[in-house]
Amino acid sequence: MDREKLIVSNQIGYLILKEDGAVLESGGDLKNDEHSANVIMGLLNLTESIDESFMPNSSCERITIDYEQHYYSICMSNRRIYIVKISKSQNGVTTTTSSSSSNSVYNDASDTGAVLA
Amino acid sequence: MEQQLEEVLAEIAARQDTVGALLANRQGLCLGTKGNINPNVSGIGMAISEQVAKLEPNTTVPATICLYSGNKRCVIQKDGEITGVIFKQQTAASATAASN
Repeated sequence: MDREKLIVSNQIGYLILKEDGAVLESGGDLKNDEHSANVIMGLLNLTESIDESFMPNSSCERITIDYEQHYYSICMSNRRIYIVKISKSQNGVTTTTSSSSSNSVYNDASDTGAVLA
Repeated sequence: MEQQLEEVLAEIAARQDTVGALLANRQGLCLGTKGNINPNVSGIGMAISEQVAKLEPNTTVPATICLYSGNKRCVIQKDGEITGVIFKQQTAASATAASN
């Protein structure tokens, strides 16, 4: 199995996009996930002009989208958009399902094996 | 009804680092504001929360979106019919308190 790129610890998926939204690299839960890429490109277009007096246009340097058990962190560097889906629990295993970790969607060895290794 | 909204807004505005807060309905119309925030932000705030709802449409608990720019943050959360937008700015005093 290919070792997937590890951007941060506890990562469960990642996408690297070009400025026009084209997927350059992907892995884990977000492997070939063009739907998420399109939604996030739409979000980035919206966040460019939230309120000029509070945040100058296009000054937003990082975005997080926070869910109960995971969050997405989005930032731009070197004309690339990095999207990382990160588990909130240690080693990608949710605390509520730690007793039956084999059932956890965050512990799928085929997707996150490289992260856990 | 307005009184309840105003109570919620006052509670949010009293939190540390909060500059302003607003609530919007599902049409993106502003229901109320507190502090230093432009009521016109309700439209874009609603659009952002609707866009993020497409990311994981099967999730029951709505996501919290946070936009970071320097020491400023814009927090957006949709809860049913209502979307809340909060502007926060970390002051030097609160940054010192957080590091202790």
